[in-house]
Amino acid sequence: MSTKRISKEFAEVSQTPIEGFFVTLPPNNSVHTWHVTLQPPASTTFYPGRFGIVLTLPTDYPFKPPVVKFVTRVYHPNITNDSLGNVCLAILKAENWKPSTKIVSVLEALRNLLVEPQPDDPLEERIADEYRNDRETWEAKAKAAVTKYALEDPIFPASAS
Amino acid sequence: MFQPQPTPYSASSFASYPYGLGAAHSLDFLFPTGGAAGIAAGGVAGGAGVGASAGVGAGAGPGSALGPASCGALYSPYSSPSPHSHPALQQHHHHQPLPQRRRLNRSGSPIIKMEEQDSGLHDMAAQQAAAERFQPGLEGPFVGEKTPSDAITQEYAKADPVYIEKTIALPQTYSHYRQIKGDGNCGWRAIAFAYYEKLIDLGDQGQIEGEVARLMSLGHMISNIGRYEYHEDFAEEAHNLLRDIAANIANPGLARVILLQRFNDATIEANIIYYFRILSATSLKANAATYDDFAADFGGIANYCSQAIDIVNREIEHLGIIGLANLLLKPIDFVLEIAYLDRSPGDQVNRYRFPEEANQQGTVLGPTLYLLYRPDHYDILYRAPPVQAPAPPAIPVSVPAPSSSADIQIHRVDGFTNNLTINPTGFMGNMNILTTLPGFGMNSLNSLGQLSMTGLGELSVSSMPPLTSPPPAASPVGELFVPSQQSGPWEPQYPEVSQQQPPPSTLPPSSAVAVSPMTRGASMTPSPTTRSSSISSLLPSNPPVPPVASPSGYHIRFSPVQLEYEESNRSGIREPVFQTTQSTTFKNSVWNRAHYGNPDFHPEEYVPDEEHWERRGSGRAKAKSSS
Repeated sequence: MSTKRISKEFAEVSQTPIEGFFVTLPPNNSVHTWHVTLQPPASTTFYPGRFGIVLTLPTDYPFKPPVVKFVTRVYHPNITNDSLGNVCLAILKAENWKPSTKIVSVLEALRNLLVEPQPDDPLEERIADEYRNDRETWEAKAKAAVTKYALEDPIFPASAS
Repeated sequence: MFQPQPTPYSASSFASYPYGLGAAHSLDFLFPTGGAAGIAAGGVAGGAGVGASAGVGAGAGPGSALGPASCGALYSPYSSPSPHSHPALQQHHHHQPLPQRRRLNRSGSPIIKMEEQDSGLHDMAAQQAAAERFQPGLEGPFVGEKTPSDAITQEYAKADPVYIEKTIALPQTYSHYRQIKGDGNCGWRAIAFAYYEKLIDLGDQGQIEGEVARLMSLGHMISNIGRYEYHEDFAEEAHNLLRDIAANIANPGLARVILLQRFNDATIEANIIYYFRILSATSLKANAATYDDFAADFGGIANYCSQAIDIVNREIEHLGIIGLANLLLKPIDFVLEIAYLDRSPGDQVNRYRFPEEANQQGTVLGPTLYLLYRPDHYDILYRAPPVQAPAPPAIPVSVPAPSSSADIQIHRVDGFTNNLTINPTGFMGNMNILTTLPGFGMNSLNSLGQLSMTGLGELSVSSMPPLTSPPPAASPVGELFVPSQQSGPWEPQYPEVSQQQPPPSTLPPSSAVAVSPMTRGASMTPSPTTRSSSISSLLPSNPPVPPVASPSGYHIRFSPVQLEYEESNRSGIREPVFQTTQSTTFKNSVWNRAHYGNPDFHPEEYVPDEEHWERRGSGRAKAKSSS
């Protein structure tokens, strides 16, 4: 059941790609894991980085939200600055999730998060403070992180969670 | 109907609260959740008037007054009313020294007295434990089997009198009910299931196929007005079920099995329920002009749908029901009737019908779906068939309900001249618990026993548990009857009684009658000295209330706490100590409505010259900080 819907959504994303996104399925072709490469718009601090995102769709999708993790390090208030790359996105929280939400909307929300960080709902308190109070330092560090981690094509883990 | 029902204790602090459709939500935020450390708050609880509205209409009300945090049923540990009784998952025993008493001293200022009290074997403690163990239907199937609704009466047997009265009356109107899993979808699930089931009841294949066509034609509306993507996936399961029912309508039994199976398949039922959600939301959005005002708190009906209907496991509210009633039920002339079981005054559940026109007197109603609403939870009800037939004894311990008319006749005795058989197992057994309480020893026990026996001398006594035997909570009549062990004060007093009685082993459980009206009277009489006079005055003047049949050994209407309270109150021997039912959510919080259950509860009185308004403020702060 969920596979059907996911296949439908994947077909849609493949046929009409969303700007800045490149979506593939992992080698094992499970539709429940999407490998997403996001290239933020040129206006953002994170340009020209390419960020790998693993989107995991639970078996009871769409009644449970997808799980999103950055595989590329990002210096961002709402993304954990570690190898886990957890993301805080309001629409993905269990209490907010709507089964009628498309994955495309989730991806767009992710792009918006890079365009406009939400320091008031941070995962990285320190980065959020820096973003609010010392934007220049934050931008410099974010740029540095892009240069260090995000210029190569992202490497997705072989067996994505 | 969604007017809050103020209890006599409603505090002024709440009276000004803007009730309305959205109010139920806001209430959530207002209630601090009491932590386990709420003892300090408990002391304040009496002081700060605990405001509450008994029936928080549309459904987001934070739990019942009974204590369980949500889906407010209270399961007694002594009964196994349903085939899916909930195992004890949580066994926290908060034996908190809650009891606090308030009295007015001469100047009228409240004295809050904290007292350490071991609630050990207290009956209320058992009730509290039951409340803590209660899981709001999270175990078991999504949709349960049809069950005689006496089970509900039994669940509430130890609850607040309002509930007792209402649940006694309930099976007379609604003979059966079906338990719905309380995972936040229960209202949606109940309506959806009842809708399908009613179609099976009607047995009209053409109608069901018509429903498939009609619902499919709503697809456009769902896309364009509801703005839902991928709704076809949700709709498919719902439509398939209709088709499968239509195909098997010649065999309604099979159709019912299919229905129950689909609703107990997590994936299928999730789709069906979500389909009903988007149907409702689409219906509301299509009439946005009408409903925008009702959803003003959310900034319009579209936002309301997005925040309250579109989200999984979000319980249905009044607007959601309206949406479904208008789009799903009204076009095929179905009526939805909801019976509200809450603490509002009255001896019957309040009923309300959707669509609204169906509430008018004299309206000829179409096929009707019945739901039972308890704070935060919905189950399906079934009307008693017009021809009264005794309920099938699906529950082993159950006895025919008062719904079977014959039963009521039996209990409606004329001055107790009938050969009533009382089964004192329950309350007598429970008496023993009382002996463990200070100030309520064997003497008072005996006096009570004597009084209830002499007062009801014409009744035959079916069994008399020996006082020394441990009180099994619920056991068949015969087991307990050990006449040879009857000792001391009992034997000489009613020789004729024991002659009258039939051998208890042959006594069918159904002839056992709750002792309620009698013991109520009995418990009023405080001491041996006043006993005889009060009995003569009390019993004849007390018209016998038709008691509800109860399973033997299940002490329904008799609470030792109540007895102890009245006893000591009258004789002035001892101040009652009361353990309120503590909800897991509120604990000792001032917002815990269970405080009303406290017979000592007294709403705060405003005395202009007193400084207790300050105290109250600080108390509230305390309550917050400790929660």
